[in-house]
Parts: sequence; structure tokens; C-alpha cells
Amino acid sequence: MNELTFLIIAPIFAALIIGLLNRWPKMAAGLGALAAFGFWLTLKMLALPAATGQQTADFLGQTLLFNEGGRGILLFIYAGLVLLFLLAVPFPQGRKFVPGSLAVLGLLAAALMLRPFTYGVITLWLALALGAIVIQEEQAGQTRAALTHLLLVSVAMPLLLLAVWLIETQPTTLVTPVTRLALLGFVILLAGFPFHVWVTAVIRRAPPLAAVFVLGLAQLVIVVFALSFLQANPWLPRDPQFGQMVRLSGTAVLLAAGLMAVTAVRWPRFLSSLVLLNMGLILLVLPLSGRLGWETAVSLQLAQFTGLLLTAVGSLLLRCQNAAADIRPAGAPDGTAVNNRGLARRTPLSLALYLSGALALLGLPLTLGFGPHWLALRALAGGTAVWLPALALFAAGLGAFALFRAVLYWLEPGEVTAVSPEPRWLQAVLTVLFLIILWFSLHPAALLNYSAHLVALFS
Amino acid sequence: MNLPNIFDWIEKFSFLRGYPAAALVLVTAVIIILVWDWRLAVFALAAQYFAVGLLYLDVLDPRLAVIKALVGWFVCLILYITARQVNWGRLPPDITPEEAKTYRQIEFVRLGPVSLPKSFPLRALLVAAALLLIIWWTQNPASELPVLAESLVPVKLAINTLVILGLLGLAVTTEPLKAGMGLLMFLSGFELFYSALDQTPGILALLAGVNLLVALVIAYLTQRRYTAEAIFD
Repeated sequence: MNELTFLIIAPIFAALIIGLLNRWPKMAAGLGALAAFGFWLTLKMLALPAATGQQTADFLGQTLLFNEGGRGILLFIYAGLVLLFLLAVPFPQGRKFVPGSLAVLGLLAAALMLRPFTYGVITLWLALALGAIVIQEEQAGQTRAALTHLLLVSVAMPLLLLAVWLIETQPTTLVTPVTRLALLGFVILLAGFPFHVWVTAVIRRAPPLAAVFVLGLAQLVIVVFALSFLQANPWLPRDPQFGQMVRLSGTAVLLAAGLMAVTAVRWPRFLSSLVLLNMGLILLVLPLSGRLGWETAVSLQLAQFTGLLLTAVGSLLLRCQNAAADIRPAGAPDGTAVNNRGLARRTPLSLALYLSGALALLGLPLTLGFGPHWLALRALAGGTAVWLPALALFAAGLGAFALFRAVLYWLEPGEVTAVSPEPRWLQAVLTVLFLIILWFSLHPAALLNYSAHLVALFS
Repeated sequence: MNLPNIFDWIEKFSFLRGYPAAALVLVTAVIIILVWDWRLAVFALAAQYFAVGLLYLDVLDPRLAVIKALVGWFVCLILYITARQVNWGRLPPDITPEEAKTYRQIEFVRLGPVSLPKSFPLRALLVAAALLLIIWWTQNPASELPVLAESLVPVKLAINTLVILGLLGLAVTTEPLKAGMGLLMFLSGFELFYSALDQTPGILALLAGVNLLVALVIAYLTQRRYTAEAIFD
């Protein structure tokens, strides 16, 4: 087995072995972290031929094409997965999280490497369909999130497969409305309006770390896949009707997300509105040609991963301290006086961690997400529709208003609370974490440089 | 004794090729959406895969068409076993509705001698509208599908039926098994069309893998939907 095949097969084998230990989720998470670190190390040591900068191999009769760009993205995903699995040791996410994520990882690696693109699309389809099991986890009764994800992905991928086949085999002069309709597949996967419902469902129902995996890491592959495909067919981003479709859908998502943020009374809905604000921007910058579009989209996706990770850890800590999920009086659980009023006084640091993630998703100045959002606004201002940055700012403003209102609610003096205060050791750990977050917030170039480095690897 | 090979079997069922197969696809699709009894729906899906297999004979090598039908029957087998494990979506016989706090039974209304689910009239209306759309779309010159020969009208009719009714099927319910059957119908329609475009064995094998994986995920979700915890909590 050569190295490229190993990157596909080994995570699937690891998933099977770790799946046998699923009665002990903490041990499975630890082993998963070890396995993901092993894959990261293998990939780091993999030497690509200096002359071509890429390596090829045969896989099931097709070509695996691996270059520095693919390596950069996979290294980030493996590192992110090590982090998620390590977090799953103190916060177990269920028995399917570790083996499911590893199996998805193998298929995602195949989707990044397999050429022609038609094979990549089908392996991406397999990966995302399997992702539904990670989203569902062991939850009994409610299957809406996983089912919505499975249904929308399985409607999007045939459209995408058709688009890829038409574009790869037909001359560009024969671009038909069928191709444009088929490109709707990208819009569904990137949560364009009205298909954004899967994002809301995933955040509301999936375990927090599973949501980070699906919307942070797996989504990065979708973004890179879409960008690579547009790069390989440079006439496509310039097609006015494709641009119009993406712009319309992205604009509607931003508006819907802004409204969702203002009307949200509990934090799953509020968080999904912030993620949609970010995803709406990714959709809007997608047709921007060249390196600018790449850098902006990839940096926004990295900010999304970071923001989701911080909110996930924050919400897990808050759950451990018996916090509820209301962000306004209307969202307090029925039939109980226990609510989150005064939460900021009982668990200031855990809540601040959650807020730093939310702020990163909003992209306000002096936060982790500011760099990518600023880049996106500048890129959109240089385009034909000059009203787009204004709209993006308006939607972000609605999100910021909702967040400010929630903070005021959490700061109010609490009456009845079941929330336990943070222990000293946790306060110490969180303080160190805040110093790191603060450093990155004050140096937005760090995230931008990393995404620019990733993009440079592709070119 | 000479056992019949697949070509003999194809010959035996040749009277069903073309319009009869397309009609069978249409009837089974309507049954899958309208009928509330999972047993009937799963058997209708198996019959539909048989009819789609016959239609594949017009676009694929006969051996590949048989494999497509076999994959479909494997999918039905997965769904059948799952549906049996969850008692066809009904309460287990030793549990009363009072004990099952979260279980929502289908509400029936009596129309003369027959009882129908409350949602039946709306579903029937939507199916009727979808059938009109299918007829109009199949006859519309703008709906000509690229690559498919003009003589393959039954295949076009089946593709339109599977895609439109499949999308309707997955949209009208939140039950994983029933919505999953809608999705599998949609995929069947897409594959029938795509097989005319791209007949690479690798693609056909991967698409078979997609079908089986989607069926497994639907089975998992159905199990979680009807697990004992879900009934009692």
C-alpha cells in the first residue's frame, strides 16, 4: 500500500478498530486522538517529488493526485481532529463520534485526491452521508437534523455530479441551463438560501463537537473542493447567471441569519444564525476569481472552525455547571424558575469563552474572526454589487445587537439559579486560554497568513 | 438440467419492457407515498427496482442492468429487516399507548367502510398535482433530456416520475424510513438518467455503494427513531 492509499484506507480501518471499543467512549476518544496524530505525522513526513510538487497513485483504477495544497488542508483537518478527540475525553460525545469521524476522514481524503472530479464528488457524497451518523449519535427519538442533512446532501450531490460531468466532458460553449441548475448542488452544500435549514438543524441537535467536525472540518473540504473546481474551470465564476444565482442565495442567507439572530431566544438558534452569517459570506466570495476569492473563503472557513470550537467548549463547560440555554427571558424553560439570568456573575470565564467564539463568527474588530471578515468586505466592495458589503455589515450588526442584548440579560442579577460557580483550576486554565485568544485577536494577520499559506500551496 | 441464465430471464420478462415498466414505476411510486403501511411500501419499492432494472436494459449492458436491480433489492432487504426490527413503526405488542409517552400514533378518520390517515387527503392532492406535472413535463419539448434517444420515451417518463415523486416523498414526511424511500426513488431516477451519460464501471460501482450506504444510514436513523428510549422518555 503506498502512502496516498494509506491516507484513505488507514482512517477507515482505525474507525473499525476503535468502533469495537465504543462501550468506553473516553478510551475510544483517546485512541482516536492518537490515531489522528499518527496520520498527521505520516502526512507531515510524506515527501513530495521536488520537480513536480505532486504525487500520483492508482486507486481502484483511478488516479489519486496529491499536491502541497491537499497536504496543507489535510494537515489542518488532522490537527483539528486531534483537538476534537482530545476534548471528547473529558466531554464524551457518544459512541459513534470517534469511529464515525475517522471513517468520514478517510472518505474526505479520497474526495480531495481522486481525479477526475466525478469520482471526487461521489466519495464526498459517501463521506457526507456517513456524516449523518455522527450528527445523530446515540440520540433517541429525534432524527430531524441527521435526516435533513442526509436528504439535502443526497439531493445536492447528484446535481453536482451532473454539473461536473457536463463541464468535464462537454465544450464550454455548450453550457446549458442544465449546468447552472446542476451547480445548485454547491449552493445547497454551502447552505445557500433556502437550503440553509440543515445548518440550523445540525447545530440544534448534533453533539457540540460533532457539529464542529461537520461545519468546521468537513465543510472546509467542501469549500476547497468548490474552489478547486471553479479554478479548474475559470470561465465558470465569470458566468453572469452563476454569479447572480450565488449572489441572490448568499444575500438571502445573510438576511435570514440576521433576522434569526434578532428573534432567537435560546443559544442553539442564535449560534446557527452566526454560523449562517459566516457561511453567507463564503457563498458570496465564491465567484470572486483568483487568489482573493480563495484566500477570503478559506480564511472565513478557518474562522468558522475556530469560532465553533470555542462556542462548543464554552457551551460544554456551561452545561457541566447546569446552565440553561436561554439568551432572553422568553427562552427560559417552561415550568421552572431556573434560567440564565445572572449567568455571567456565576460562570464568567466559561461564558466569556462561548462569547469569544460567537464574536469570532460575527467578525467584530479585536476578535479572532475580524481578519477574514474584513478581507471579505474589502473583496465584496471591489465587485460589481457595491451594496453587498453594506448588507453584510447590516446583517452582522443585527447579530451584534442580539449578542449585546444577550450579554445584558446574562449580566442581570439572578434570582433562582442552579448554576454552580467555576472551580479554581478551571478559572486558571481558562485565563491562560484567554491570553492566547487575546493574542490572536490582537494579531489578525496570524490567521490570514495561515490561510494565505494554504492557498499558496494550491497555486 | 439447464438453469436459465440472466438473458433467459430477461427474455421471459421482455413483455414488461418499455411502457409497462414505466407504468409499474409510476404505480409503485404512488403506493410508496400514499400507503401508510410500511410492509406494502417496502414491497412496492422492491417491485419498483425490478421495473427500473427492466428500463436499465435500454441504456446499459444487460449484465450491469441486473446488478443495478440486485443492488436495489439489497437496499430493500436492509429496509425490510430494519422495519421488522422496529415492528413496522408501530408500538411493540406488550406496550400500551398510555405507557408510551412520546409515541405518536397515526390518526385515522373513517370514510364510510374504510379508515384513512388524516394526512391522506393532502398527500393524495399533492400526488395528483405531481402526476399532472409529470405528464406535462414529459410532453413538453423543453424537457428533452440530453443524450437519451427520442425513442426512449418510457425511460424519460420513468426518470421524471422517480425524480418528481421521489422529491415529493422525501418532503412530505419526517419519518426516516418513509422519507428515505422517497430519497431512494429520487436516486433511482437520477441514476437511470446518469447511466445514459456515463457508463464507467467505477462510477456505477461507486453509485451502488452510495445506494447501500444511504440505505444503511436510513436504517440507523429508523432504529434511533423507534428505540425503546424514544418511546418511553
